[in-house]
Amino acid sequence: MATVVTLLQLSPTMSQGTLVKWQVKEGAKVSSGDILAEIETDKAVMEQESFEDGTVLKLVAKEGQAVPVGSMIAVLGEPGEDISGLLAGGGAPAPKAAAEPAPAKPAAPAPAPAKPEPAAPKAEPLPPVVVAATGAGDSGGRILVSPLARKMAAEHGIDLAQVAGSGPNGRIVKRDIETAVASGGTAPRPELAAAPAAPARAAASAAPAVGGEEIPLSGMRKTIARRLVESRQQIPSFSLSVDVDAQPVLDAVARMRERFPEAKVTVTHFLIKAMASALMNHPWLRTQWVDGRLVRKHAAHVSVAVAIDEGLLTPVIRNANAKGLQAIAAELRELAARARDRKLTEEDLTGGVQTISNLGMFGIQNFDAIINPPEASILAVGAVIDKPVVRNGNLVAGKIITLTLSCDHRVVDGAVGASYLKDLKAALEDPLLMLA
Amino acid sequence: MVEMSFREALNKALAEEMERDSQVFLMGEEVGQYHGAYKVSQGLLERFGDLRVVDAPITEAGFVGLGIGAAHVGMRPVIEVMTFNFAILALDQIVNNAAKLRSMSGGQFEVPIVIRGPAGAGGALACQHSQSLEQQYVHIPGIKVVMPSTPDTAYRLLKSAIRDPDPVIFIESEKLYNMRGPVTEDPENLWPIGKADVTRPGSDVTIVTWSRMLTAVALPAAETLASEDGIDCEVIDALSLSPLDLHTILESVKKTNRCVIVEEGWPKVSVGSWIAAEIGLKAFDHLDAPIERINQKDVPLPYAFNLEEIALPRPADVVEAVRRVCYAK
Amino acid sequence: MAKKAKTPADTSDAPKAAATESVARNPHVPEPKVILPDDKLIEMYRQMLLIRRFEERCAQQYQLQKIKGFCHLYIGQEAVAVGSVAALEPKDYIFQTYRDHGHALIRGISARETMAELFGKATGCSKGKGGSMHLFKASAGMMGGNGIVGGHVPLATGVGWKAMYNKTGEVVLCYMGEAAVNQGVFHESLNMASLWNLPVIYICENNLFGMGTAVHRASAEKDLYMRTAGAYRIRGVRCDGMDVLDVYKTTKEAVERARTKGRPTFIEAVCYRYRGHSMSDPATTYRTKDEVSIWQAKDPMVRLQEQFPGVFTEELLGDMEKEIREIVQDSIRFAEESPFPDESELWTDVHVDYPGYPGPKAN
Repeated sequence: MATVVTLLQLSPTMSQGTLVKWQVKEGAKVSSGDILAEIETDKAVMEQESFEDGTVLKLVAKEGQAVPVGSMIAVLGEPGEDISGLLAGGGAPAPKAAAEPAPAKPAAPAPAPAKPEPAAPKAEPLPPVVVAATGAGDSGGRILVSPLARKMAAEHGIDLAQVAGSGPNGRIVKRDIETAVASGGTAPRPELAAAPAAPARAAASAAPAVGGEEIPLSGMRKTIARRLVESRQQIPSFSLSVDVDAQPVLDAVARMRERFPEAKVTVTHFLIKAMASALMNHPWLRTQWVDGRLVRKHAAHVSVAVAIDEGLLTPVIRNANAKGLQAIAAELRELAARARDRKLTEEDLTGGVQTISNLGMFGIQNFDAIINPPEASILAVGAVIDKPVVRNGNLVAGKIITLTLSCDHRVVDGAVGASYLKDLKAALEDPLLMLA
Repeated sequence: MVEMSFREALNKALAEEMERDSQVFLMGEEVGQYHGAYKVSQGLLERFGDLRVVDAPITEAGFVGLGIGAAHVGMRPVIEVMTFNFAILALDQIVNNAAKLRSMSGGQFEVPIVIRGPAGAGGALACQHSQSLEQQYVHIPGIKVVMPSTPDTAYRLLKSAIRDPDPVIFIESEKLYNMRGPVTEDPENLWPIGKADVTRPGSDVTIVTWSRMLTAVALPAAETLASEDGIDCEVIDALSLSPLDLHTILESVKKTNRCVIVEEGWPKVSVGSWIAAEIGLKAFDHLDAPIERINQKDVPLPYAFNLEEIALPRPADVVEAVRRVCYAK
Repeated sequence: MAKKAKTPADTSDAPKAAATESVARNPHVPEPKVILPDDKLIEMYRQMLLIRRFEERCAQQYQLQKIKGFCHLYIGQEAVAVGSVAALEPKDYIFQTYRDHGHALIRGISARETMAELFGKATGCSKGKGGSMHLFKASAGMMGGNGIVGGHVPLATGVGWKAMYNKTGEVVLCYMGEAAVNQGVFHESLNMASLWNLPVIYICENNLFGMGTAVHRASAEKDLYMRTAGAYRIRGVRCDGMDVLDVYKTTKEAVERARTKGRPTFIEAVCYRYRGHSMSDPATTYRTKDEVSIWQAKDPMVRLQEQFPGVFTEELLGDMEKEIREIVQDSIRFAEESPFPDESELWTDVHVDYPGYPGPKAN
């Protein structure tokens, strides 16, 4: 009866070993305790003994080969024994397969990969945005309340926003709820100052419903508010994130800077170029939901979020896929300057199919951006961060950028967005691909 | 009840248990001819002889380990450490042997040893001799930790500890040895390990404490609060820190909705911090205020009398904390 | 890893003295230190072989990941455990270090219970809760392996205290590695044992290395047995730990002194482990293969066989090898088939159950 010799775990932390040298030849007789091979573990070169008596029928692993623990490395048995089944079943290094009979035939073909059709967008209505009146006990928008008072309020159906807190920093405590219950559901705010032990601090914070100084509302602010509320309320969006190895792009930027210092190319310019190239291959990312109809755009115009003092603008770089990095850099610089001077035209600001928003310079690692309608997606770009990455099974220092793509699910399905993001990642990790 | 000192109560418990069980013996530094560094073993050598009241060399790991060895073959050693500051030298024996033998033998052995002695601030003893180290032992599964607060609990708990089948760390406050109080006259009236005492029932706030802090800090603070603020404190004497009578503490907090924990030792990773975490987890919805903790200041205890005084918990600290959690001025 | 020792089963083709009573012993073989009845010699040999074969299989089971964690093999040192335990009575106690499989097998724990414990199974001698380093059997006075170097020495001293206190006539054998003699508790314990006349024999298995540190690099007094007389008035003796009869004779004398006079003894048994410190030590950096083979040439089983060629016939050895192989194989089968402890066991044996013991819900 032939037996399979598997690679042993020769040190507690060993997961694979390199077969340094066979100490036996095929056809040799071995007994239990004889040394079969020298194995290099993660710690040292060690010897693997035979557990059995028999003849070496086959040396499966080759000298120099790295083999996982538990894989077949040799077969022992009686001379002339048929071991083809064992060899076929185990394959070369088949971890832990030795004990199980090899399947006679491949079973039915593997099921086709699941259709790239994620579940339909969940139709859950977005919770209405409620701006709570600023009551007492408010601290940066949070109502401070003791756990007990919170529970009591829930039991009595009392709206905490209507209760004045008498504890430190206006914390609503047990006695405040008791007072509220006694007075029919609401603590009488105007009488707060007269409440027995209310500290002066708490009284001061019991401001009118809208406290603070009113700031004039600019037209830009109004537009931002309207469009983003519209986006949040109407677009069933979802987000996809991917970590990109930034080293190749950083290297390319460095080379560009060396060769064309005055062009001042940055990672953002590379990203715009890569986005546009990928957009050309992903028509759904160029498609927009306009009044219940789908409208596909045929050019890869990229909007770039530019922060200015008064707010935010998104000028458009047209046909970025067809432009060189120097051209993109120069154009963006010029657009940004005009944005700051509030000199952008309607044309500068329309026609984009996807926006890039980069907060990396603030050290933000990743974030969700709100889609800029009628575009169907927006790319949020984080900072380049030092992060250990696994390469070839080892931890090495890496440079990582996290990209987060928010998509309009009416147009772009999960797998479609993911596929786009995959191409974008590939292009950034090998910038040469953009020339393909 | 009969009145006696804390020290006499311990002595009485020891003598009675040695009389009752021939396998009980007392070993430690100066327990025999010197009559105990704190005179707890006064007269025992004369009564029981030098095989049962044994003066050990100054070799804490050695004689604590010897006691553990004797215990796990059926004896009932009471090992006195001159102070728990010195028991640090025996921590390997306590942690790796006393606490582990039952478990690592799959239940074949038990270790009915008592390791007892004083701890805490004794009055200008400076930093190496003033430490409250109960949390070292409470942290370790497999050993029990008790800290009596009065002559009566000292007497009744020591008898329980000697009869308990597990290793018991029995920590006495150095400053309590002279405290006098009534002690039960019934030699079988033991205080069960794992049971707290509601020393002062009250309705407005729960004060959890143990050992010397009960009479030196918590109860005086409660009296001040009752008379000056009309705040009615419930004071719980934990007595047994491991196992801890969490049930009694939680029931009290659910009633009062507030808790102040008074502990002689330092604040970080302490018994009090553990109790606070348990309350936060298990009585969250009953809390009307944050749990406050009064501890020794987080410094090695200085010798200078004035500095020592302000480093240790005082009744006024508790009064202030209780006022804060009661939202009183 | 060194090739395993040339134990008799491997030497069937080697020239061997004819197995007759009249044959003279090889003059290069040391004289037996003591003459014992044949059946006692055979039993000693059998115990050494059981340990050797059991430990070889442990190594394999470790490499097959059936045994995990730390695993310290006793191969090479068998004569120390076998020779010294043979000098004891059933009522006596023994304490070991974490290198405790060998002592367990010859002091009341079956191969099945030992292997099952190494596999972490409920049928193990410590219910699977101790593992390789913590093999216990209270009923046999097997007081366990201890994982802290020197940590068990005061415990053994405490059991000696109990024997003295209750005048039971019991004797305690406390094994330790040579590195333990530098620990504080070793000295604290010997001081008390001498002071109070405790019947404890401290037996130091000097296998020359504390992990990878040679004894001369760790101990200012390299003759370890010299340490105790001057310091603690405890007799210190050295014996050949590769010679089971020398170990037996030396221990026997110490046991007599302990039992009759209550005096402790310190024995230094010089021996050698063929394998690394533990399964994760290839033993390549601090000693050479040549050094290992020099010691393997003094193998205690080979020596006993050569000292009594008329007793250890080829037939006897063949049968014994077969019997032991079956015992060890059976222990592996038993361990393999045994269940792991029930999850409820997590909460048992921590301390005595007391009313209100929270159990699993506590956390």
